[in-house]
Amino acid sequence: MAQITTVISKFYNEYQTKTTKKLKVIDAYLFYILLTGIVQFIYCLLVGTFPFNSFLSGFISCVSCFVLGVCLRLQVNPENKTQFYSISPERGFADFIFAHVVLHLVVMNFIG
Amino acid sequence: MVQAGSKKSPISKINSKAGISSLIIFVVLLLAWIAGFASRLFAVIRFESIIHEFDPWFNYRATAYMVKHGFYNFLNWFDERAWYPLGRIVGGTVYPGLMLTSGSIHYILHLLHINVHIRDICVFLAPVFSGLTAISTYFLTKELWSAGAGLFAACFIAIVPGYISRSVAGSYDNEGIAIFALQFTYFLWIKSVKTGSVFWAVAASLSYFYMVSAWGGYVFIINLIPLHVFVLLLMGRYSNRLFTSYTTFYILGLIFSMQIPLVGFQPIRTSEHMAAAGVFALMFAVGILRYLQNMMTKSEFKSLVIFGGLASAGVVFLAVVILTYAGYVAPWSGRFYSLWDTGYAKIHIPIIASVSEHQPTTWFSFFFDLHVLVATFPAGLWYVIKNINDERVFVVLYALSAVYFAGVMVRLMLTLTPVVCILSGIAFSGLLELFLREDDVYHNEDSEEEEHSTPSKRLYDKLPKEAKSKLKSGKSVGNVKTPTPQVVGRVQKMKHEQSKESDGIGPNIRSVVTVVILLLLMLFAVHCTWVTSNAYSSPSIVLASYGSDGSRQILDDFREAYFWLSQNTDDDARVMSCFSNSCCIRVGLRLSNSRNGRNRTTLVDNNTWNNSHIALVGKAMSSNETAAYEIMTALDVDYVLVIFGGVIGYSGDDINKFLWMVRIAEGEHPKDIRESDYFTEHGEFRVDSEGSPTLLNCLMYKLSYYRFGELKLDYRTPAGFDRTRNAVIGNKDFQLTYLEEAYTTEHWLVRVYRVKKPDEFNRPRIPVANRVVKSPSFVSKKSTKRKKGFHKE
Amino acid sequence: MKAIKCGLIILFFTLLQNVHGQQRRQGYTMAERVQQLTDMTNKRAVLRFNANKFRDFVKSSPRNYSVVIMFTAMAPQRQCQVCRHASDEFTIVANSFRYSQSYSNKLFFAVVDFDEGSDVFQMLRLNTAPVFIHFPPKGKPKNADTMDIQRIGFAAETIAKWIVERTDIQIRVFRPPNYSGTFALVILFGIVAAFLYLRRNNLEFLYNKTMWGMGSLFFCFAMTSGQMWNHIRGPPFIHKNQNGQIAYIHGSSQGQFVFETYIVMVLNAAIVLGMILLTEAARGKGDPKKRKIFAVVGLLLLSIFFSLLLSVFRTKTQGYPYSFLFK
Repeated sequence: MAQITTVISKFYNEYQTKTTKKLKVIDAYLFYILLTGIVQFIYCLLVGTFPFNSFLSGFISCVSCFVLGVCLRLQVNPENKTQFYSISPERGFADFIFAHVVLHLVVMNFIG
Repeated sequence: MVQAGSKKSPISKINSKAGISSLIIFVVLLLAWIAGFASRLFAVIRFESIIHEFDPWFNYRATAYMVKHGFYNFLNWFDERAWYPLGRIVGGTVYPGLMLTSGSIHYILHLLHINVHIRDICVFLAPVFSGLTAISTYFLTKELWSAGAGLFAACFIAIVPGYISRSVAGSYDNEGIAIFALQFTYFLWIKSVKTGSVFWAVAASLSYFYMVSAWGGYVFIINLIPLHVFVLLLMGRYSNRLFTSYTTFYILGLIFSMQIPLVGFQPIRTSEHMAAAGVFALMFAVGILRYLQNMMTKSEFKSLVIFGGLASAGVVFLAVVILTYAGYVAPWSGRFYSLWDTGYAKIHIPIIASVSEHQPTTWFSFFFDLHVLVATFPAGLWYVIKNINDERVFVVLYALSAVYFAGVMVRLMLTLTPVVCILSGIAFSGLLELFLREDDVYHNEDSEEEEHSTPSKRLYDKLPKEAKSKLKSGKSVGNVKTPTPQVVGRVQKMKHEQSKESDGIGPNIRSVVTVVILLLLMLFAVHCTWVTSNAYSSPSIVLASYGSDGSRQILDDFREAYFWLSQNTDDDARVMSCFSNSCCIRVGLRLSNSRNGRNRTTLVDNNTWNNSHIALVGKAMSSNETAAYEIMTALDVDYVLVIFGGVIGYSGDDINKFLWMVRIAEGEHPKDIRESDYFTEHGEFRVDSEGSPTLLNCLMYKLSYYRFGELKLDYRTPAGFDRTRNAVIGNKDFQLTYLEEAYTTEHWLVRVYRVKKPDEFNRPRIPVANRVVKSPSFVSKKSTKRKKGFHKE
Repeated sequence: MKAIKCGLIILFFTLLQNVHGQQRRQGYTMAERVQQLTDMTNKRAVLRFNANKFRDFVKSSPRNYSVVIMFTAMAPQRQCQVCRHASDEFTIVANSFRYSQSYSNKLFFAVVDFDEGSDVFQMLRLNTAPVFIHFPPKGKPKNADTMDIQRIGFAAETIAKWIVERTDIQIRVFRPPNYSGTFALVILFGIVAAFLYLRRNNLEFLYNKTMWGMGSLFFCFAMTSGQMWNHIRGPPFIHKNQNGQIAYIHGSSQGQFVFETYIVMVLNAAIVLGMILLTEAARGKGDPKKRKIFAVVGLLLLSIFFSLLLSVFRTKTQGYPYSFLFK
């Protein structure tokens, strides 16, 4: 157990020093989305999933925001430049916006 | 041809190789489209512009309704004519993509003031989409291998019979547009895996959405793509590109697919979709581990992996078990289960096993549908495996799974066909690219080919042309496309140069090989035309028979009968007919009505999810007249229609399919119907005098053979000789009590009976058994000749 | 389903006992008999009857229960293989009934062996085994009370279905799960795992593309030559007609023989080999002479075997107009 705590603290330090500011902003966003998703899930456990499509659309929109955020983070991260050679950060952000537009149109349709 | 020829002269003047290659690609694709379109028109030219079978007919009716009343009314449309007496909620039980597609085409054309009838759009939709399929196949193959292979694949898929079978003009069915959606989704998926771009992944999921709205076969995509990802993970080919493309595709595809009313919440409820969710979770786990790996030292990482891995595996496993157990996740449905356990359907779901499309495939059907491609696609597979990379793993998996499914079920040949075209394209282009390097060699052969081109001109001389253009484009692509990940092109180019230096194979062998390959391709082209013309282009309502001299005789009994029905029955008449595999009965019914603007209600059709209902009709057909009459009055039937082939020897008639009816009826009513009663002591199914009495007295038998005992077909055979089963029927002289013959067509192929109302037969109550014997010699006032095409009103 | 009745022809022995002298034990009342039968069934799902018991429990009336009896000959010297299978299936049905919810004392399962009750066989004029006969509560067994195993076979499911027809008692057949398949799978995985573990230092062969390629090609050949059809339909290997001529190729397009599919598989494989040889010959570097030979061999393989395949196809299709090299 002690080993794991040291690992975690070390990880925290590394994160603080190595990650750029842009990525930290994205990470904060991701953390916020994660919290929203958890809250939704707990709510549905307590209250029930009655309008099932509403619950689903809310939850899935959360998950997909998270997924898209992670994708953006991967594409923006300069360490991954070799893998995404054809995608500049600006292009990544444009894709991110496009995907969100499509996603939320569908979610609005689905939420009923 | 003329086009291609005329465009050749400017080509030579343009110096830019890119220009030439793109022009050639354009021309070849255009020609492929035209050829594919033209070869699907046999039925329309030979007969008329009509919709062929039952399901297409239903789709057409739904489309017409949607065009007339608008989309939202369509979604809430309750069709009380189908599946009488239950009715059918159309919006919730169809895949709406087909209707939406043709509806929007209709809308756009009308905006442009081109007034086309919706029926013509429906008839020609599948041929038009086959051209789009060819184009998306080109793009897919180009991403996988090279542009030359792509052109080959496009030409193959334009004319291959395995795909034509589902997309001739007039077969207005889901598969026609679904194959396009399938190929296009795969293309976008490969594209997104290659670039890792969110944009392509979103496009792929949109295309997937279209596929879901069009065909139930979307399950194939949602299992194949996760399988691809999973195998890539196993091979240690994880990359962040894969992560972005898969996670985006999955989560968007998930919410898109739930927009289709028929699919509903299935994507999170059924086991068929669970693999995709599992791989999604796995991707996240691997992604997080990778991220942490960058941050930590090896030993720390190891302990974390072991701890975290064990915990997460346990949690996932428990969750799946609990969910399945508690009934949140439905187990595999019967149809899918029967794909794995091949004996399953035969025992448990007779209705699935009875459909001829769900039978396993013989090698004959493979060769019939794919011809030379079936023998050459493994060569393409070999080269793909030899030069494997991320996206080629996909095509390997696609080929292996599709070939398995096609082996289990004839119907799934359709999903095999595109991948076979792709792989054969790779094999042929690989071969010809190497053998056709000297331009002067092939010119001679080409002119030679064109000299002895015969009947099917368009297709016959098309392929050599493609081969030629392939050569050019293949070469030019090799030269032009250097930067992007066109590794293949470069590798091959290098090899070209090597072989140039030490050219071991003389020009003679080269040219012989080229000629042989071109001959094979030509054989393929003529085969495709022959198959299309002979096997796939007859509407199932018109039977064509071939005389010994090869002449074609058309038996138009079905249309005759349907025309009679539409003219002589009330508008709300209810016709009971069998639910055998060929759904032609009800089809044509609607067909003749579609022209007259009238409709009949049918009891049972091919879209058979309501088992008990079908079983009831089956029970009516297989019990004796009195019992059947009770069922028929309960169902409120006015007419009964049977198909009988005993006069002309048509083997697909109702008596031959009768046992399936009995089996299905037995499944629901085991006390009243027993299969064993319909066999003789020795377990044979025979209609002559040794047949079992139950069979000889059941409704189906009586309706088929009513008055048949008096008919003498020719001098050699006795009266009442059934040509299909080669036997003299056993129960010759009988009368019908509760039904009367209303109409019989010229070749006796369709017989229509009217169900009498109670007051018509209620005169003296004599037991049924006596009635049969009462008048042993029924004297017909008409001569045998006049009896054909005779009707009572 | 192999509905071959065991061709055991039973020699009729002389009666050892006088049938009419057996009135002595008629003393049981019906309730007693039911009680006895129930007790016996609790011990064993399938009762073993000899001549006396048969008379007591089946021949006597009144009864309010049905008895389903399998007449068989299990003794080794009778050499009845089918009886053994039939007995297994019958026991499955009996056990399923014994431990199901619908278990009642309306139906009993019993077996009469020839060597224990040959006079019963004689009484019922049976001279073959195995035979399944249902004895209804009232009256004598009719024709339909003898199960027609020639036609429908004697799988447990069919026996259950037949019993439903005769007695209206639903039996859900519960087969004891067959562990042998799972066991074999586990062993296979074990062997593979052990093999991988032993060669853990040298796992290069997993990356051998040739091996994977061969495997998938073989799979494709197997599928496209219709092995799945063979697996499901079980056609004969080859067909012998009355004159003793052997047909290797099925005449119509609807069917195929096992041997035929092997031929097709070989033809397909040869064509693919030809294609690959041709490509390699044009691409490879080595000795020009060798490449020339490769090219010629590949060409021959491709053209000859394809035309063979086409001619086989032609024989199966009526009116197919095209051929290549051979008719």
